[in-house]
Amino acid sequence: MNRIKRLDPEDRENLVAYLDGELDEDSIAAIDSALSDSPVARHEVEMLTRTWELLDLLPEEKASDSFSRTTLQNAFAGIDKPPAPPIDWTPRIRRLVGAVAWGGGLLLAGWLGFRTSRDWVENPADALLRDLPVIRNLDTYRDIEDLEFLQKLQREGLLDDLK
Amino acid sequence: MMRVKEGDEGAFAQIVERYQDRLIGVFFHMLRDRAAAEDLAQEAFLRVFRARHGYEPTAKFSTWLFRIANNLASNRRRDDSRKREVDLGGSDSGPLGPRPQEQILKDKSALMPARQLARSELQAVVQEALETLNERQRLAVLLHKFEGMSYSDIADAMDLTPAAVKSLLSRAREALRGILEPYVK
Repeated sequence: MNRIKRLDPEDRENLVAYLDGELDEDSIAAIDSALSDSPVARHEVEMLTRTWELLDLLPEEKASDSFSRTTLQNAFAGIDKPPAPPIDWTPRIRRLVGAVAWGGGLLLAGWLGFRTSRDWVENPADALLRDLPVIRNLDTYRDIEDLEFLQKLQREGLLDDLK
Repeated sequence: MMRVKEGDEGAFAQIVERYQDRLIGVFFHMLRDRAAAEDLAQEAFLRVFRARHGYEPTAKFSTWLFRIANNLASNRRRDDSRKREVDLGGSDSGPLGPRPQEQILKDKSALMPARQLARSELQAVVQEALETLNERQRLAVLLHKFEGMSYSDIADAMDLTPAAVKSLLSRAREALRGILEPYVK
């Protein structure tokens, strides 16, 4: 290597890795050779080393007194909580069944009420239809004026023609 | 971490104690905001804790932790860049000229006599030099310098290839050398 020639960029990249102990054996041998041949290269190595050492002057940072405590509190905050209890569906199901039963009961009661009123409470039109033969002959029945005589006539079938 | 996975809360407390300063340091140098650094460090630990059940020791714990840190820092940068109306981006001087920090360093360098800088002044210069790096370079430098992580571990944490880390660190160290060389005794 030329004694006054500076290292080229590739050599310099290797030079830093050389100083950091990150080169393979062949590359180390090549750099050793270059350094032995070139005072410029040796100067570069020295400057790289000494400027790197200046970084030791950087102030050392310290965590604040509360840092560790607050960090641990925040980390453990999530795991100190008791797990959420499993959902008990029994009361909900019981309430739902009750509501369905009540609804069904109401429907049944309504239906029974409808049936009862339909069967047991006579429709006025039905009564008119049933009594139509009597109504139609009411004047005749009134002319007889005696209920026992009228019943006797009915028993003997003498009123059948009036139906 | 396996003890944390098994429900040992004391083991998690030990992890927080062991890594809190380192994580806050990385975030602080990334963001230059102390409160934000603590917020992100706490979020990183909470993510570790929340992910404990699925943890598998496929890589070093520290690599996994700093991968989480890298993701958080990336999200933070994305949020910040959305808030900014104008994003100058990148570390290199763009069409608008050198960034203010670079200019400050040049000014200091120009005024720099052979006098000995006070330690605090030198510390500020180093800090400003670090800030001239882009975020990826800066994180790679921090992980390598202060966490002693190998290129392979840094690649894992930053989702890069080892070759990309090699290139990243080389450019970062060249940039630092360019700025800090005048301050070397």
